[in-house]
Amino acid sequence: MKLSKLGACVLAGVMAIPVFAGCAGKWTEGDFNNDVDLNQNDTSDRSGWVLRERPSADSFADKDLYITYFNGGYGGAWLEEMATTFEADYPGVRVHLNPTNDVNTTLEVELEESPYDIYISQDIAWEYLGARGLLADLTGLYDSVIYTDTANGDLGIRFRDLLVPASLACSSYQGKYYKVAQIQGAGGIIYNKTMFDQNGWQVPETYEQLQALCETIVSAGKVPFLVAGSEGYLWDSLVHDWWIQIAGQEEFSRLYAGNDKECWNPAVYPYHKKAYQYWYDLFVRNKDRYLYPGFEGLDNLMANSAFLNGLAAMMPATAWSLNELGKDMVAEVGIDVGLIPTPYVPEAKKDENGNFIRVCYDVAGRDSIVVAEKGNKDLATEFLKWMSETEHALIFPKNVSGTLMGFKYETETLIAENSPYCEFTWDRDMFKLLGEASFRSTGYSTSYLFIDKKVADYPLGNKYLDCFTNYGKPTELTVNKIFDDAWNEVNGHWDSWQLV
Amino acid sequence: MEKTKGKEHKIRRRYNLSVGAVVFICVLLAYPVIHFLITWVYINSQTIALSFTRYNPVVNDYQIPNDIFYNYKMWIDRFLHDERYSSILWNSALYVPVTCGITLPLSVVCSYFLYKDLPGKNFFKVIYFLPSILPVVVLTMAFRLGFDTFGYVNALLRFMGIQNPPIWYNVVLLSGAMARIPQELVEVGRLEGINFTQEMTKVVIPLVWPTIVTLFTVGMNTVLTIYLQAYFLMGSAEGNFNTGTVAMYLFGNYSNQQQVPQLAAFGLLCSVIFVPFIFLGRRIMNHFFREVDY
Amino acid sequence: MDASKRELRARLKKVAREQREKRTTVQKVVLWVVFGIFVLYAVSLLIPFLWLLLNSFKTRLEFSAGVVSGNGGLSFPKEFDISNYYEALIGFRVRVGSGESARNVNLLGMFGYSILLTATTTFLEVFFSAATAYIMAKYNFPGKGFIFAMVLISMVVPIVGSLPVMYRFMGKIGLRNTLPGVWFVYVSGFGFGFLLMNAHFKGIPWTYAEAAQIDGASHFGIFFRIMLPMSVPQLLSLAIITAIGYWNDYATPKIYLPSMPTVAVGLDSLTKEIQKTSDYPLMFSCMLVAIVPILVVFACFQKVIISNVVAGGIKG
Repeated sequence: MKLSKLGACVLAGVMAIPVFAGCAGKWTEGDFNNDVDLNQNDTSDRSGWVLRERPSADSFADKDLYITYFNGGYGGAWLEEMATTFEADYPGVRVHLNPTNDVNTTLEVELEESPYDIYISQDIAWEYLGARGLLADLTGLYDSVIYTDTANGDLGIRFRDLLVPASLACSSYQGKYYKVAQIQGAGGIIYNKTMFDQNGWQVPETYEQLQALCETIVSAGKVPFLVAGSEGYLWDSLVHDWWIQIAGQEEFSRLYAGNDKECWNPAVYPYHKKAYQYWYDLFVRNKDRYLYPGFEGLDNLMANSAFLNGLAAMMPATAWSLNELGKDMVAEVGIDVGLIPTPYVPEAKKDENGNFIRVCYDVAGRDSIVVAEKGNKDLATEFLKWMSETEHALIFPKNVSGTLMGFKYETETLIAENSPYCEFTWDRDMFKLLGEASFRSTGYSTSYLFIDKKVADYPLGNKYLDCFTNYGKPTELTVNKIFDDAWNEVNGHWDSWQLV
Repeated sequence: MEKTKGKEHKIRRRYNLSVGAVVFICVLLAYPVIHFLITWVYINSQTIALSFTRYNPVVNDYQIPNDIFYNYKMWIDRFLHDERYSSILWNSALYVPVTCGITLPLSVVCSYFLYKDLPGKNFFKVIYFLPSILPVVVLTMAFRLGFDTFGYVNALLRFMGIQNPPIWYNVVLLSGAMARIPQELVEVGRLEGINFTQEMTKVVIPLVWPTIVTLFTVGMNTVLTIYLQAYFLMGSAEGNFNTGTVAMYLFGNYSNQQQVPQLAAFGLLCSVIFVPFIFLGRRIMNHFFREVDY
Repeated sequence: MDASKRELRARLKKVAREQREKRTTVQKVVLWVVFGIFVLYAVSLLIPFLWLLLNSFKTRLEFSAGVVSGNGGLSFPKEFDISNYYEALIGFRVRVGSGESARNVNLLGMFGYSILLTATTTFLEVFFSAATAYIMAKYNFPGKGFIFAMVLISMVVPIVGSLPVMYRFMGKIGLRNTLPGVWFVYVSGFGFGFLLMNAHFKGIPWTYAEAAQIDGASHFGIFFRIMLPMSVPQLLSLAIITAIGYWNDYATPKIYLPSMPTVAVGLDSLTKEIQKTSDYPLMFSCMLVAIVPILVVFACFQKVIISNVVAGGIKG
């Protein structure tokens, strides 16, 4: 075949070009340093706080602030109210809002031209964009003093002190702060409170109580759980919570440092595997009784419809579960829903008084607010400072019930009688949980291995759906196999994954 | 100067080209050739070059690691030992038997009958044409919700008396159900009313063989390019390793700049793996009847 | 070639007529079985749309209760409420563009973008395909064999993995998110249309051109005044095939022209946005509204489209 010979020549020619082009440089050795100051001043008592003196609008050369935001998740009402209030507080300043359902596709190009000053969205590749110099370094913002605590020796309460620790920990890359965490949330179990009340079922506190509740529900002829097969990650809310409960804060965080391969070795680091086993024993082994038949083939849309129509009592939940059900849909159907914080497993860590320590894992807390390097940085930074002030941070939950920004809130204010921040029992439960939790993690890591997607908390995928679909078959997937495979993968590749 | 002019003249004479013809050729071929040089030669050579680099966070740029075949070794290792990635290859390869082994022969038979005296053949022609002209997002949405546990497919099965309809969670296989009948094949039917006997193998197939081979090649290529059905069926590319295809993996990660060198190596490697099979398939098909030239 | 083909066809027709006359019972049964299968297949293609149609008239609550009630949502709405359709066509918008050029686009606007994009790219692609095909078929020049080989190889050997590089390149030369950028990505002149037109031009005798040359026509004149007009049916069928492809393409406009969402892209954005409010009946109305123009065009030009696709799809 003459053609293929000619083709081979062409291909060879094309292949030869890059050899001569030599477009990429030689490897530069160096430290990939992520160390950043995560210390925070005490913010437990706000009684003596005095607000900073805000600069006047005249001190800003450019008085127009352009903000674009993803309007899918939490809508735009909160930002519109903030914009109006901000304009009132800084007469002469104008805030221009641009809601969009896709920030990311054009983000890199836009940052180079900078039509906007602030971008708010999920999934922003802020580490890369920041390192490329397209995002403003917000370290100055994080260190700026917002309040002075006169009751505590005029201690400066900085922007960084006002953020919850998990939000502070997931905002820096290579020693610089590039983003502000838009929201914080927690997971657990969403339940049909109306159904619970009608049947007299109690909200479970422990793993054993959850199992007993499932039995009660089954004997009442109802189905305890429902989940869309395609949304397997929802189980993370339970499994990761159990993992943190068993491991404790330090051991859990050790894995995310990404510098010790033994964290994937179940013999040395058993916490994750134990948590997974708890999940497997409760749900996989009882899937025919505890889960809605055919849930493996359910779409998220259908699962939500089924839950609204009372086909099951509970679903594993993330912070945005209620938003996804549709708040007005829940109201239209006429049911109330609540949040069950992940029940404690027997091995969960306890405090010195013998009470279980409340912890939570949050898959929703990764939304970002970033400032364009070429944008109106001064005014943008001022807007973020203003946003962190107590009364303004509350504008968010007022418009998006049950959800908080990355700042610290006073739980009593949120869950007070006739609180404007709570519409459903879910909202109240969520605020209580966030207030109680002594440790919250977004599972974010600044380790290169995580950013490069070489490792993850599940090195071989989460396998939840596979566990269900293969159960009772010759291809049955055991917890042992999942974690042994994962360890083999990490152990076998660890050295090749390193940078040098 | 004189010399080159003389040479030019010689070439023009050899090819019998007038000045007008040279101008004509240059003007009309300029854009296509430049386009080809950029999008194929330049972009692909850049892709090849990039595939030998790695993102270095220290300088925030792509650099050549000590082991220049780092990405290739990584992917070969993954394809051999990691089912998350080998399943991408298998899923893609699955489209070969689906498009070439099922859809194509069925379409040939289908097109044949469509031009026989089948009652309502014009109606069928229109209906069967629909999947070719409707947006994939609409098609997949309608199919996906249909095959849901609560969907109408199982509802119909129950209606027909099947008590325990199956759970359709492996939706990739379902996209075969949406396969489009290649409209080019309707040509088969132009040979109105031949019976399905020896005439078919001796006359009809040889006549449309070039089309079948072309469609076969295109069908083989879908191994590397198909993703939309799976993408819309599964919602997003991320995390769905077990249902992903080659193109879907690329589509799901193209904007992640740290991954670009890995992705380039991944795509090139996939081409290297599948192209010999595509050529082999063509050769075998050509062997049956006659050499097909374009 | 043409003459022998005609002969063959005449023979086949005769054979067919004879066979139809002496069709056996077995053959009749086979035909009816085939007919049954065809009906089933047609129904399987239509049911999804019937399902979309029925549910697009329902309210959110009615839909949500309906789908889980056991009939899979295949039930008539309590009342046919057309407000979803008004909302789908006019009311519901997605926000696109950035800075000063940011604006809201509804489905009508998306149709505009789709038409603009499809018409311009189809015109350019058909023109350049015809030009390259004509030159490669009728002229002999240095490098021709090389170009031909490269084109074939590039078509048969799909190199995947260049998407990220292309994306970066388009950004670098400033064509990302512009209409010319999408033209550049789409229009090559060496694609499927090239093969099609090349075969066609090879079949046109050069004597036409020679006659014109004697009359003093230039090379451009021959191409534009004689060859192109002679090829209108082929150009038309190529245009239809190409246009359908462009109209339905999702990836290219999604990646390279996000600020001008075509129907295929915008529909995806719309559905994602509607999912946040769980208003699925509205989503279904959007989908149906989006396919109506295609169906109308198809219904009007059904004969032309099918026969042209057929005529162009093969060279025999």
